[in-house]
Amino acid sequence: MKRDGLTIPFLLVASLLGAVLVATRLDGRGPLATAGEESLYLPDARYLKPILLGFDGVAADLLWIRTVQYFGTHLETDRRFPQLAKALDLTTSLDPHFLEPYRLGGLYLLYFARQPEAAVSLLEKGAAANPDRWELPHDLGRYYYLEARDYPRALRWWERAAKLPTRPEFLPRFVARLYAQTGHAEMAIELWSELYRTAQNDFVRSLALQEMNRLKAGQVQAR
Amino acid sequence: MKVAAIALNTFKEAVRDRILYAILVFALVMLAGSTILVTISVGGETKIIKDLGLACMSIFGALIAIFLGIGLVSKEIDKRTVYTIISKPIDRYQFILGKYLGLVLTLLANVGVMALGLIGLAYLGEGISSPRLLLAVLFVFLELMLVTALALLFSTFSSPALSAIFTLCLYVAGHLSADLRLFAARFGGAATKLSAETLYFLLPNLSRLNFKDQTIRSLGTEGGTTALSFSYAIFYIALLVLAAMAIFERRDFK
Amino acid sequence: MFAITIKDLCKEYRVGFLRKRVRVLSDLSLNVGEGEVFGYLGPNGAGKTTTLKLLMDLLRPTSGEVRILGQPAGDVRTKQQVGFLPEQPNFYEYLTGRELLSFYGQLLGLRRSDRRERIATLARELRIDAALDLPLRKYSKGMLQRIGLAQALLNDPKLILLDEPMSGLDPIGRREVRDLLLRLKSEGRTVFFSSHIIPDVEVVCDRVGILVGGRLVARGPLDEMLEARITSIEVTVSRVPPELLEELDHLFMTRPVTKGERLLLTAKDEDALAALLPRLLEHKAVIHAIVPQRESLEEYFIRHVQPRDAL
Repeated sequence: MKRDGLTIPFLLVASLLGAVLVATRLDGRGPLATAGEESLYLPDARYLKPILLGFDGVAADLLWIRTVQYFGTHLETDRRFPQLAKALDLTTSLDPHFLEPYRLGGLYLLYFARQPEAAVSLLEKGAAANPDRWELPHDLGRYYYLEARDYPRALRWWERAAKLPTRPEFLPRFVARLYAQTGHAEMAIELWSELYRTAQNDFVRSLALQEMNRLKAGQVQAR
Repeated sequence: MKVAAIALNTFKEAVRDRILYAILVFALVMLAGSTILVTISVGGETKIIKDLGLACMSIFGALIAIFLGIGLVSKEIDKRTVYTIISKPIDRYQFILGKYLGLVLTLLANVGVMALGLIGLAYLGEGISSPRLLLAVLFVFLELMLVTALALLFSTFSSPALSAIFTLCLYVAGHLSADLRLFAARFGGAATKLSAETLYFLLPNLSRLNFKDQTIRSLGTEGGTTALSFSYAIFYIALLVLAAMAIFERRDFK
Repeated sequence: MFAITIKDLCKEYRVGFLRKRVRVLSDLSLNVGEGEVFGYLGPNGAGKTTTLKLLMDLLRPTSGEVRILGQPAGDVRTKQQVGFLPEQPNFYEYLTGRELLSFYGQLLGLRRSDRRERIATLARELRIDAALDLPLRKYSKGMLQRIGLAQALLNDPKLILLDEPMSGLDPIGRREVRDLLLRLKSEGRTVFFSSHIIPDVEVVCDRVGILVGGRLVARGPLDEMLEARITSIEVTVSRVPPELLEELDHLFMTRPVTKGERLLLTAKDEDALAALLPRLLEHKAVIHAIVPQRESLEEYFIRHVQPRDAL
């Protein structure tokens, strides 16, 4: 190479262009079928925990963010979520007191991935790990009430939630109504509207709104 | 020839460095440990061994690349060994190239040792050799070459401690750069999107070089994607090494 | 053609967080002819090492020009004919002396057989053959200096640049380096070396340059620079009457010193001597010796350095 001071800068710019060009072409191949898989490469929590050196919480946060991305990407494309349950399980194993993955993850599994068993076991895992939180037994009760229509089970979970000091005031009302075995449709609407009121993101709100409208339409039909 | 002499000497120096052995031994112990781990697992034994093996190779290789790479040039200047070398009839870029290739050679030896161990263990577990694993190993090695080039670049203008921090940050950012772009596209305004886009193209996109899952789960990889990822790595490495040369060319040795 | 041409050379460093400019060399111009041994003198911090680094392209000039054997500094083909010993050289301490020299030989493009031969010869000449297979971390400072000289001479260079070649050496080592410099000179090579040890310079140099505070304050053949100034004249006498001494007291630079039978008088200058001698002869004093005291390089040095330091 001649010492003219130009060769290196020239090659430098050339390789920068090359890198950007190749990167764009790689992107042009779209979100590869494999890319989605890759973005959720999930080891077992048992092996992962020791090497996280105590940063379990951070890892859970990152994994949660990735899980949401995974969910979002597949919701927009193939609507298939083969890794979702495992990702949620790992996230909640890394940080068992992080409630969002249980609650939102439960909704994702139930209404989009159509994996009720996975949703129930996730929520039960959460309820076991967080016995002082009303949210998880409440969500379980909602599932049994709305989806499984297993009222005794719903009652059991809600009773458990209603005994907790932090519970919202509507929970005892649910329990009372359930004992009376009346007005299932109104109660279902009320459950969704509670979720609508307390939800912190648009996604859940629109899910609740959609379900409420469906139930209201059904009520009108029944009359 | 002169580049080879510098590269071999760099290799010699690295081989005498205790850090290298500490990391290598730890990696091999982890690898051996994975065989114990699988006994308490149900199913997926060879998968776990391969997972852990490739992860070890990647993480410990990156540690070697960073800890030996950050001193590659700055140590030569600090210890004044560079004076007598630059005063010999060589160009400065030859010195940079030699130092880089020397460390790459060191990494090759390390990755080779780890890969042999891994393929051996996988063979014992599965009873069949798994040549596809070599594709993942190749890309792990390319990633390590890129990390080495990053460390080399920082080493030409900053202290080892700062270089280590910079390189580590870019290593992490490089694995997250695809997510960064995704977030910006979803939540950001126009300015955020533009800067995220720029960053995305400037940062090394290390997730492109991650073929671990594909090979372990025997997912199909298109030849075209592999070739493009390969050339991406080569272009990016060239970019970093040339930048190191350009900086070194202008440097004063105080 | 000059072996070294330095023209209007300036070098500034930027130091500290604020990148403040500090000028290390100012308008330095200097030529060194082929075959000349040039001593580059100056107190610590004068800019000697900076000059040598600029000559070897380890530093880049802020302004001005540096040429080595007619080519710009840093030219790769020219470096083939140049040897350089940095100040307090440091080498890869995990290599043995032989491995190190062989490595430099490779950088010089010497063939294996040539390398082996050249290393053996230099090791013998510099008396390091016994230590050649020891790792450099076990070398003393003096041995490192010798290895440094060996690597500088490995390519049989036409031009040799040495930064403080005598520092760190014991008197015997210093003498050996001095003899080496004399031999290099007799072989017709150009040597440019910096030093602050004056007696070493006085013997070997054709010319010297004196650098103070980044400026070249004097240059020229050493004897010319020093001969110009006679500081005092020592007269050794005996049998001088004491009253005469008192009478002549104003001519002396220092009080007379008794040396057994004899007396050492120090006349201030030539005029004082002219006044002194007839009076001594008048009183039948015996004059044993008259020795003019020339300024030593050291005193010359101090005279040039002090006023600047006072600024």
